[in-house]
Amino acid sequence: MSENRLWNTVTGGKHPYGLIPVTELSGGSFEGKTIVKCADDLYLIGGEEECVLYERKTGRMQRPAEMRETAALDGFETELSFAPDCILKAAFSEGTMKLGDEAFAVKVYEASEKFYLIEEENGDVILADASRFLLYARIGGEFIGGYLEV
Amino acid sequence: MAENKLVPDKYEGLSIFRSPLSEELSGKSFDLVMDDGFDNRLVFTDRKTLKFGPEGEEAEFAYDCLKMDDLCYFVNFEARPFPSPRRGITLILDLKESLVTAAYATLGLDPKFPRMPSVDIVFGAIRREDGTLPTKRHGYTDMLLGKSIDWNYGSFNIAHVYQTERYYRVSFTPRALERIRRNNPQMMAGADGRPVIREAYEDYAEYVKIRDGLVAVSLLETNLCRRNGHGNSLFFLMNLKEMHDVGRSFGTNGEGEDENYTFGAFGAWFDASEVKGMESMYYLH
Repeated sequence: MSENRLWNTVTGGKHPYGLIPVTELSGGSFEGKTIVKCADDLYLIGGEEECVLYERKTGRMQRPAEMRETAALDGFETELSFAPDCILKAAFSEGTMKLGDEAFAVKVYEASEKFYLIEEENGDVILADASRFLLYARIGGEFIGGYLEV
Repeated sequence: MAENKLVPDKYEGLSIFRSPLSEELSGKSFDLVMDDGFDNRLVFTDRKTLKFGPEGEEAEFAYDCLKMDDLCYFVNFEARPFPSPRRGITLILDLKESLVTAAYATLGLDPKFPRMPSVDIVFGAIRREDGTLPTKRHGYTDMLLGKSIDWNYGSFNIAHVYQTERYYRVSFTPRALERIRRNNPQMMAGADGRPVIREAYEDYAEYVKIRDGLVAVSLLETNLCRRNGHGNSLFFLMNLKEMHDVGRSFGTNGEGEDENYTFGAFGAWFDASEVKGMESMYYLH
């Protein structure tokens, strides 16, 4: 993972907060996938390369590019953490997510009500739950959890 | 200066960081053979309702289930509306080893302090599909002793100091103190004007190993209850590999209303030497 700048930034070289995969979805399209539950009806599903969002109540499976881009996070400044003792200042402006001293080109999508999907240019994704201020990410192929400063 | 646009929703107590509830047990049923002699049938009727009790006498409850590791679940429920006295039931189901640990909490039984919580930990086994039972049990552990973890519940940080086999203390990181000054300034002074959070608060604790990296911790707030008239039973399941925990608060809230809710937190190891070295204000050691 040493090549992944986003991973190195958010973990600060520490073991990140983990996410426990769930098995409550079954059937063909879920076989062999790692599934993380993000809300009652919302799941991040990791395949070999891409990550998709599954909304159970509608049965909709969406890739980031199929979602509606939003500027809802522009101007948002906070702190976030994906690993113990690694709390980063975060700032969002048009097309950019700044974490500590590092800047990343991102697109922000409206994933569901009060959920925003942040896609970094290399395909890593962070799903932000703006209701509970929890973070669900797939970075460098790994699912990790985190939080926004409340 | 940029405007902060996002505002989290309101959640009960310290529950904002609680992860989504698990539905994996929906439709499943278990026979719990408990070491206190009171066996129970546990049936997860659907995503929200379970039945629990001696076979043939099961009562129905709404439940919260949180998954903390592969095949390991934290299940919490209590009769609603709250009866008097109250009995809260929390089960840690380890389906890998077919083991169960129950925390039975009560409120309303203390003749002097009606809001004094108590808790009994009971170990047991889950009958396997072939009818057999494991002979091992989850067991008390000293693996946390002398250590401390700063837990972030979203709106509040607190470091739990696992002081001795029977007692815990609390401490606060500099960041936690700053957050308290900002968000909960009333906590900086007790009813008598003393700075509450600078005391080495100490109370009863129990620590149970569920499996490698998974520890259940029970903390009581009996001294808080004697001081303020109410305290809670807190029961946690900590995943030390992921530095994440879930738990439930059973008792009453600051307004004296009954509460029993589940929560979640993110942890970081913390050096609490200062608090560990203080003389106990409450107990002889």
